[in-house]
Amino acid sequence: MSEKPTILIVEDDETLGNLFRQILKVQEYEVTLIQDGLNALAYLKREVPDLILLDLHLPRLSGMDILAELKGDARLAQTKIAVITADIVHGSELESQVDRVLIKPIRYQQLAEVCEQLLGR
Amino acid sequence: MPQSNQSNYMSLHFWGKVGLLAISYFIFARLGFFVEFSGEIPTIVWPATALALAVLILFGLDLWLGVALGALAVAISNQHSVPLLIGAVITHTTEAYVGAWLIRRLPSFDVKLERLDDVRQFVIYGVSISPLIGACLGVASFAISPEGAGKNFADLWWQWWASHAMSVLIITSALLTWYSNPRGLSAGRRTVELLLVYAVLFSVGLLIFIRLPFYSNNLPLGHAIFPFLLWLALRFRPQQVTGASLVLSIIAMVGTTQTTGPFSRDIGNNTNIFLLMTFVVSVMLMALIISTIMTERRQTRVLLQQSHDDLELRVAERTAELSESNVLLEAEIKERKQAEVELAQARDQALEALQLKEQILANVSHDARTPLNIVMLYADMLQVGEFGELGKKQYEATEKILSSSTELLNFFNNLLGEAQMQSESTQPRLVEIDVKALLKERCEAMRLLAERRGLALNWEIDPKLPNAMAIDPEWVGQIFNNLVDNALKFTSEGSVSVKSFVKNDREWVIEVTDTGVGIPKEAQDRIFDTFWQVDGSATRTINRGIGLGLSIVKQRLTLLGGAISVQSELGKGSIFTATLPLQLDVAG
Repeated sequence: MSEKPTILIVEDDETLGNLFRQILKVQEYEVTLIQDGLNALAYLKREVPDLILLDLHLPRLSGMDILAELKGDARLAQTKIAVITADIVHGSELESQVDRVLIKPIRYQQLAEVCEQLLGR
Repeated sequence: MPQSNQSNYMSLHFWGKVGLLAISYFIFARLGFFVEFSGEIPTIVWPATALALAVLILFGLDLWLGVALGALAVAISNQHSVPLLIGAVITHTTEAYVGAWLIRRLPSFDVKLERLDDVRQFVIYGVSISPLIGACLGVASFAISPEGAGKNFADLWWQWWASHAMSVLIITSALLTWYSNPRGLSAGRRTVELLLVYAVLFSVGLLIFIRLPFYSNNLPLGHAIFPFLLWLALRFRPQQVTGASLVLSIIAMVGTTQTTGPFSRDIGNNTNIFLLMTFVVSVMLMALIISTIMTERRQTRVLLQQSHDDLELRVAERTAELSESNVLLEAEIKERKQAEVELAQARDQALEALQLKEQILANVSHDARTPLNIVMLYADMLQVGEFGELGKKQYEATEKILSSSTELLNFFNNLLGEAQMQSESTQPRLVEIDVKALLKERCEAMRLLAERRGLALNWEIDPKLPNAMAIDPEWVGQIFNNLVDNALKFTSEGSVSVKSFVKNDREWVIEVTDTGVGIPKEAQDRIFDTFWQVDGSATRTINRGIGLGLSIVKQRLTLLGGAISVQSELGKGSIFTATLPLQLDVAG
């Protein structure tokens, strides 16, 4: 593959988001971090990342709302979505709607493996 | 009632009464002789016998002496021969004595004659049998006396009986009833009516039997007294009837002896007297019976009315009681409703508090995960050399950070589990996974924790466990973590072993064995209760945990259709065995 796969991280906690980005950059991905729901949605109207790592509890617009907005969006048909959340209840409910649900805390190795699997590397 | 002879015969009072009776007897006997009669006996009216019977009934049989003395006086005054004199005394005394004795022995006889039974008994014993005895003895007396010569004894017997029977019916009944109530002329509100009916009746009697104006030929008008006598009988009591009968009889007798009235016809004096007698006896007896029946009916009506009133009173009382208890009941219902409302409020508050607790615990669990994730990711990055190569000690430090974080995570999971336990909607989320891989991963993670405590963690996972089995990985992980964590907490030296294997074709098992302190027998039932600890004291030696782990294990296992059991010996260690079904009902 000539181009690096692109990953959008939507995570309101700056430290954790930066950690995710740092780990995934090492894995040779093109990573964008957005910390609020509205900006994330705006970004997704413009760009088509290969993978979205989506937190559910977000300022301004929740992860659930973003998923609802993107539902049926043909542009994003190829985009994989992994929900990374501390909310076990809502996370489990999304099991069938997204490609993967990960409950925090998520480990270094796990993050790398999930991305690899979803992006088919 | 019969009294002791001894005391009677000694008392002056008694002899006074005897004397009084003897004199009265003599006078009554002489009154009878006013009725002119020329049969086998000197008189057809014998009031003395009626008096004797009444007195013996009312005052006792002891007074027979008065009768005997009276009869003796009459016999002497009649200048009887000695045999007839003796016979007459015996006859008159016996007649009254036996009659009174027959009536007095009746337990329920009432001299007021207000019941048909009393009238019947009076007629049988007083009017019929007593004179019968007199007639028989009288005939015998004449038979042995010179006066008996040439007598027709059949006529004598018959005239004796008839005269005495009539006298008893008319006079004794009046004496008995009027003695029992001397104020018989006062009939309460009906006194005026009584006096009126008496006045009319007696006037009619006088007109019929003694003198009718403008007519002098003794018309057969005896029936003219019927309506007035009926009026009396229907409206008043036997006493008033017997009184009227006596007066009317006297009027009729007086009239007939003076050859006036319907019974003074040209058929002979004796026949006239007999006709009068049958007339008087029939009419008076009928009036007496009617009056008795009516009186009985009135009394029954009064009794009925009384019991009706009683009943109404009782109904009223009962109704009052009922409405009172109704009021109490209503008050109680109101109270209960109030209590129900309060109870519902309390329940709502409790539910609210429970929800709040669940929310707080969920929030704690949730909000702790992000910082915990940061801690663990930093440790992971340190370990992979993201921040430069680590020395052995630095590496060990990161291991300790990670194992403590795992412990902390387990604790948060238990808090969340406890919150979820209260919620009925808690259900397993089944995913088909390889449970062997899950357990291996968990064992690896727990090994760090065990090593940190200086313990060995061994595991043995049955390769026969299915590669794909529908389980809730979160829950099974939680069960595993809690059992191992618990074993590690309560073991100070030795090892903790995990065995997972297929038990039979339906079940598989996670078995955690430790060499720890063990659990006292009496505590083994309670260790699965929420927040319960073997040593709950502030100074407990093992100061870890809040008593949630095992209760969550049990609750999770129950919801998964499994079970937990424990074998333990103090000081030697414990074996916890979690049994789970191989085939989980996915819908469950």
